Amino acid sequence: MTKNRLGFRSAHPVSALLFFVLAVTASTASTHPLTLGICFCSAAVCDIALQGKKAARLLTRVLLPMLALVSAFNGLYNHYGVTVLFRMRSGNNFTLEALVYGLVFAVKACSAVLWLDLTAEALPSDKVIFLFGRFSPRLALVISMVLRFLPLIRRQAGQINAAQKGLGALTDGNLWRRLRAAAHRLSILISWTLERGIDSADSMRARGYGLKGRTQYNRFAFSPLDAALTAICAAAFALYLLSLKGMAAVYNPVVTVPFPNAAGWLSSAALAAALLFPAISEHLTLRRHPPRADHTVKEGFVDPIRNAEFGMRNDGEPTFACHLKRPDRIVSLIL
Amino acid sequence: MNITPTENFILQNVSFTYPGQTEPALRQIDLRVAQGEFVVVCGASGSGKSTLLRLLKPELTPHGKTEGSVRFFGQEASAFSPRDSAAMIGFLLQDPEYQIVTDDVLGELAFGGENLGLPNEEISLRMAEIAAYFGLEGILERKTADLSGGQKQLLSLAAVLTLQPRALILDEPTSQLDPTAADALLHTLTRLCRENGITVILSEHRLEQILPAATRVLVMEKGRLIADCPPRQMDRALFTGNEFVYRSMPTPLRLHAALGLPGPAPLHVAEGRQMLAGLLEGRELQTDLPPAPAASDEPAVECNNLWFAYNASGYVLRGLDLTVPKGSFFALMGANAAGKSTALSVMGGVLTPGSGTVKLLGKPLKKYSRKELYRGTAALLPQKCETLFAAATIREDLLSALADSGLNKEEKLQRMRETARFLDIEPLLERHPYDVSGGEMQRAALAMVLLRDPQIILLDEPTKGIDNVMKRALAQKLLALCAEGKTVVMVSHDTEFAAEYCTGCAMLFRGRTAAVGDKRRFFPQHYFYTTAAAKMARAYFPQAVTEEEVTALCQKNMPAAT
Repeated sequence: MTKNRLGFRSAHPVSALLFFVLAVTASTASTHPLTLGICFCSAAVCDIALQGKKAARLLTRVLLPMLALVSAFNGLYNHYGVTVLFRMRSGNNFTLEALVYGLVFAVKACSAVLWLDLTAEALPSDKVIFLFGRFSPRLALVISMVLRFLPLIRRQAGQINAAQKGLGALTDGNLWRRLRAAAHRLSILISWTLERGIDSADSMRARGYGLKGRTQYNRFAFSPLDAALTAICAAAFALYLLSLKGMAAVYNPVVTVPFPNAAGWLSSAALAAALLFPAISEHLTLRRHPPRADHTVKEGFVDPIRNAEFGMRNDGEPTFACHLKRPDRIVSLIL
Repeated sequence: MNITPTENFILQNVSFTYPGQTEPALRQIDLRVAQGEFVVVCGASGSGKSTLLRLLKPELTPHGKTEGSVRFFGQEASAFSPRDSAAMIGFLLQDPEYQIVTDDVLGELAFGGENLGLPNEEISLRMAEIAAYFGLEGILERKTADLSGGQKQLLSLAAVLTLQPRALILDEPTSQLDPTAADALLHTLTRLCRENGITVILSEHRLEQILPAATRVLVMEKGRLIADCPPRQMDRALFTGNEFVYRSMPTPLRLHAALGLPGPAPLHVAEGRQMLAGLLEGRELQTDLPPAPAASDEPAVECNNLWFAYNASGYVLRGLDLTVPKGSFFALMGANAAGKSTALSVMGGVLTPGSGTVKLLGKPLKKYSRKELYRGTAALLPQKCETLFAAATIREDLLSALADSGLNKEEKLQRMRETARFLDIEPLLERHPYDVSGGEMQRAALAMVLLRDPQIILLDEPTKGIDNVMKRALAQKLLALCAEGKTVVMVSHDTEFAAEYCTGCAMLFRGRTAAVGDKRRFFPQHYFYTTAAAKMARAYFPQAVTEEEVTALCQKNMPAAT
C-alpha cells in the first residue's frame, strides 16, 4: 500500500513538535494511573494506526514483555511499602507498592518508546532540520549535511568492498588478517572521503556559503489541520498543568490515588482528544482517500525457478496465480 | 551596483605559479570573454585548464602567485565583492556526487538563496522557475542520495542557477556522466547560453557534441593559450602540429583535415556527410577494407544463462549468454542499467549469479578457489579508482597489490618497476595517489590490477573522464597485453573507442545480449549506436567505422590530381 502522506504526517513541524512535547511530558511526568493509561493507550493506538504491523510487533514482542519484566524486577529488588504480598527466600519482603510502582515506571517508559517510534515517522529529517534552523541555521545545515554524507559513505564503503574483492584482496583467514584488511579498507575510505570533501567545500563556497546574513528557506505551510492540532494541544497542555496538583498519586509508603475532580476529568478528556489526534486524522484521511493496493511483491525471490513456484514472472511482476496462493493479497486486490 | 558588463572577464598578461613550484602553471594569458559567449577550453591534462577556470571564480582561486590583471565584470579583482562573485559567477565541478551538500533536493535548491540571505518568497520564486525550466518536478521531494548521476549533475547545475549567475564556469562537467546524461547536460548549457544569454565557459574532452554550439575554442598547452578562435576557423597548422588537438576534434573536422580539403570545416555529422557527398557522389567506389583479424576459437570467458538480481525490485541479468574469445579486447556496451557492470562483476567473481554458470579459461568459476581465481586468473578494475588507494605513495599501493604473491622483496620491487614502466607511471611512484591527474590515477589503478598477473583483465569504464590521447595510449597497452594471449573485457559507453581498438563487441539490453560480433559486423548494422565516421560514410563505405578507415578509403577513391 502506498503510504498516506496526509493527516498527521503532513503536520507543520512546530505543531508536530508541540504535540510530541505534550505527549512525552504527559507520559513521563504524570503519576496518576488515569493519565498514564490515557497516554499509554493513545501512544499504542496512534503508533499502530500510522505504522501498522511494525508498531504492533514492537508493542507485543518488545514492550509488553518488558512491562511485565520491569515491574517484576522492581518488586524483587525494592522492598519499600507496607503491604507485604509474600516473603521471599532471601528474607526480603515482596510488596504491593514496589510492584505497582514498577508497573507505573514501565508504563511510562513504554509510552515514551512508542511516542519516539512515532516521532521517527512524523518528524522526518527535513522537519527536524527546520526546527533546529529556528535557533541555529548553522546547526541545521550541519545536520542536513551529515544526513547527506551518511548514505554516501555507506555507498563508498560498498564500492570499496567490491573493488577489493575484485582484486582478490584477502578477506578471510585469521582474525589478525581480517583486522588488517578492514584497516586497509578504512584507510581507503578515509582518504577518499577527505579528498572529495574538498570538492564539497568548494561547491559550498562557490555558492556563497559564509556570506553574512544567511536566511533559512521555509518549505512548510501552516494548514487548518495544523491550527486545529496546535489549538487542541495548547489547551490540553494548559489544562494538564492546572490539574497536575489534583492528579498527584503517591506510591510509597502506600499507594494513594486521588479520585479525579472536575478539572481532572476535563484535563484527561482534553489530553485524550489531543493525543488521539494522529490516529483520528489518519483514519479520516484514509476514509476520504482510500489507499490503492500496490501490486508489486516486495519480498522473497531469489531465482527464476523459485519465482515460478512462487508465481512470479521472471521480470519480478507477480502473476495472478501468485495472488491466489497468498490469501492476504486477494484481500488487498479486492480492496 | 552599476556595472555595464558587456565584458565578463578580462585577463591581461596573467601568469600563475603554485606555491613551492618554479614553473608557472599559467603563462601570459590574455583573454576577454563577453556576455553571452560560449567558450570551450581544451587541452591535455596538466595544461592549466582547471587553473585558468578557477582564476575566473575568486572563491576558488588556488593559493599561489598571480601576476597580471584579472577584471571581473569591469571591476578590479580586489574591488569585486564576495557577494557579487557568489551571485554573478556560477561554478560547477566534475563529480556531481560531492557537490551536493544537503540531504534532500529542496534543501539543495534553496542553499544558494539562503547563503545570499534572500527572503523566503524570493527563494521560493527562484526555485519554482528553475524547477519548471529543468523539469525537476518529479524529484523535488526526493533525497539527493537516491538520484542517478545525471540527475545529480542537473540538480547541481540547477542549484547554481538559483543564484541567477551571469556567467557559468564548468570544469569537465560531463567526465563522470554516461553519454546520455552528458548530452542532456550539454544541451541544457547550450540552451542557457542561447535563450538566456548566460556566458558559458567549460573545459571538456567530448568535443563532438559541444563544438558546434561553441562560439569560441581556447586551446591550452603547457600553461599557454595557443589558440583562441571560433571552432570553424581553427588553424590547420594547429591540427598537424599538435596531436592532442587533432585527436580531440570531432570526426568530421579530423576527416576534413586529414584529407587536406579547402574551405570551412564541417562540425557535425550532417555537414560531414555533405562533404563526403561532394567528394564521392557518382563515382565508382572501391569499398574493400581488410577484414577484422579472426578471433581465437578458444574461449576465455563463457557465460551461460546468467540471472542476477540485487534486490527484489527486478532482475538485472535475465539469461545472459556471452562468449569472449581468448586474446581478444572485448567491449560490453549498452544503455544504463542494461547490466554491463553487473555482468562484469559476475565474471570477476565479485557477485554470485542467482542461476547460470560462468566459465573462465574453460573451468567453472565455482570450482576456482579464491587464491587460484585472483592469483593469475582474473582481476577487475573498478569504475572508481579511488577504491584502491590507501597509502601515502603510489609505490606503496602497488607493492600492497603484491602482498600475497609469495615473491621476495627484491622480486616484488622488480615486478613493480616493470609494470610501472610498462604503463609509463614510473615518474609518479613517489607521488600521493590523489596528487596525480585522473588519467594517471587510472593507470596506477590498472598497474595494481596487472600486478595480480591476471589472464583475464576486467575493466569497468576505463575511458571515463580521460582525453583521446590518453585513451590511445591506454588502448595500445591493452592491445599489447592481448597480443601476449591475455584477454581484456571492458565495459564502456565509448563507441568511438570501442570501434577504434576493440576486436570484439557485445551490446546488452535488459540483461541479455542484443548483438555481438567483431567491429566490421557489429557497428555497421547499428543506426544510432555507432561511430560518427560510420554515420557519415555509411552510404559510400558501409564497412568503415573509424575516421582512419574513411580517410584511407577516400584517398583510394579520389583522383590523384587533388
